[in-house]
Amino acid sequence: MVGMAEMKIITSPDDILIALGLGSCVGICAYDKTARIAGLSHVVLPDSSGHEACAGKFANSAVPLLLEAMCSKGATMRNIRIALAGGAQLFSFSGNGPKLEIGLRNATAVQMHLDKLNMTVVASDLGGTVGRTVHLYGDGRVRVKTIGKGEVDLAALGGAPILARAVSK
Amino acid sequence: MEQTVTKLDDMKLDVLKEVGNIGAGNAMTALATMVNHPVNMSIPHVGIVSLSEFALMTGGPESLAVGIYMPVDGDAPGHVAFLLSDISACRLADQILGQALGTTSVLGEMECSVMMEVGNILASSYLVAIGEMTGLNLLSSPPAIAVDYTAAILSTIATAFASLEDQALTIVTHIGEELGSIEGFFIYIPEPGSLAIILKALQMDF
Repeated sequence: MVGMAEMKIITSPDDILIALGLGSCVGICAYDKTARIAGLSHVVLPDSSGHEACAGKFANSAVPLLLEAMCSKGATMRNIRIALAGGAQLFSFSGNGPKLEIGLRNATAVQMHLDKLNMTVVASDLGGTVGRTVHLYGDGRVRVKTIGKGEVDLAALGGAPILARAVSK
Repeated sequence: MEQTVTKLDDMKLDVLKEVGNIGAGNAMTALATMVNHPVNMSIPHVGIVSLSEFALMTGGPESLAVGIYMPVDGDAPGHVAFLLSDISACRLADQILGQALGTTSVLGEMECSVMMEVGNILASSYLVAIGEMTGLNLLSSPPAIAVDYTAAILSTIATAFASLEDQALTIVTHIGEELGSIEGFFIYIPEPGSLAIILKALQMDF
């Protein structure tokens, strides 16, 4: 279980990392097929703007944190493949209600910081208005569960053909 | 100014429980009037919840829920949310719309609008009671609504305070209609700076 602002890494193909109920948060699933190392980061906000106490919380610090942690366990940057899920706009509001519209900004920030490090996102399920539970298996498979569609394969970061690419509007 | 909530002694916890009690009590009266049945509530649970646990605090993270969220402004800013299971929300909509229980099975636009209004009334009742107790001016704002996984709703609400805090003081009250057909949670999160203001208003040193 990877809670908000947390990042976890597994090295056994039998283990699973789960980020439950991502709303506006983004789950970064990363996998190095050669080293068989999988990491999942549960990003809450786009930018730390000076508040560095909890690196896993913000896209700008969580992206390097995840990749560095994987590399310190033996992964190699160029072997790491990425899938993203989350960043939804869950709440609807009356005229001047609170927007809580952080989802899109989270998704954009995560993608931007991955781009900066030349990391390729091979599959993503971002945006829309529904919450998602993400499972990252120790063999690199990524499955996304939503209330409407149930559990769906998003990617096989271990090298098998990519099974789905969904970008909700 | 950043103020973290790390420690609260028993006395302060008791006072905050009483704050939750007064607020939820008033909201329960409002709900009981709406549904025409007595409504029960638990003793509020006051605790400091880390961000990683926040989405799990009511249990059932992957159960379908309706969340109504309202930011609180005025003398002591914070956040109020009312969370109930989708079944409870459907039953509540039926009761308020004067329909037989079971008529609503899916929360459409109209039912969500009803829920938003109910949430508005309940959250406002909650704040009015705390305002009267403390003499503070607590302003409610228009609410927002979401129908999704419990964890997804709670984690999205957490983004409203997560930029500066890695944990939050939460006052959670479980509520249930006497017939057991409607149940939910009231969640009140005073901002860290507001905690001192509330306690001071109640003659306690922070």
